[in-house]
Amino acid sequence: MSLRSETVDTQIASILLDCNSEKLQSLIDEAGLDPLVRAYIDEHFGARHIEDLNNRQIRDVLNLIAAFRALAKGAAG
Amino acid sequence: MHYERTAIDAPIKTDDLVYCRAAAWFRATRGDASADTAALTRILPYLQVQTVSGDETRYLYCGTLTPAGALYGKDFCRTAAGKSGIPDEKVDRYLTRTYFDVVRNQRPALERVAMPVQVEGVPHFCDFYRFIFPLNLNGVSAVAALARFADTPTPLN
Repeated sequence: MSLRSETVDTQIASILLDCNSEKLQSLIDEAGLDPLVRAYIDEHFGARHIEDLNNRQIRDVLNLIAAFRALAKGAAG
Repeated sequence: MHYERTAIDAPIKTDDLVYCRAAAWFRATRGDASADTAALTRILPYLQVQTVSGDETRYLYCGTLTPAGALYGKDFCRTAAGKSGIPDEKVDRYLTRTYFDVVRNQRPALERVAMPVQVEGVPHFCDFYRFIFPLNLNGVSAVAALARFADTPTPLN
């Protein structure tokens, strides 16, 4: 792979990660789970920001949000 | 098996920093999870947060520095969200009774609990204090329980 295409790949990866981080953060904020997620990623992954998480760790965070949304829906219904 | 629960009505004097932080956070916010989130984030590793709906409770968060974390490990805590409780269902039912009162009355409770807890088939005698307070998470009713071992759990066999 040429240096130019490696640079482009890195840029694309960075853009995708930024978009996902923003989407993930907006899901967290919408659910009001910011303190829980901050504590969760610090306790389990030693991370301070969601940008620092890998895909598997992001899936765990999404499971936490999904569980909350299901519980919130149940509580409302 | 002997289960014992004692409600503590009077405020307790303690030098337990985590308890003091949790009590101060609740006094300042009345359990609104969107208020002083930095302080809440600091104490969450010591808390178990469970939603309370109808006659059921579900984990939303289980800190690793809780008795449940000590007994069942970090993996249990990491995957706790959505679970109905700890693996020892009998103990779980006994422990969650207080949560319904806390949510109904929107008042915290303080109690001491002594009981055997099954961990992978082995009963461990546990003796701990619990400070349980109502928590409002974006309109969802929940409780947070801060439990502190009075003595290190000991296997009974």
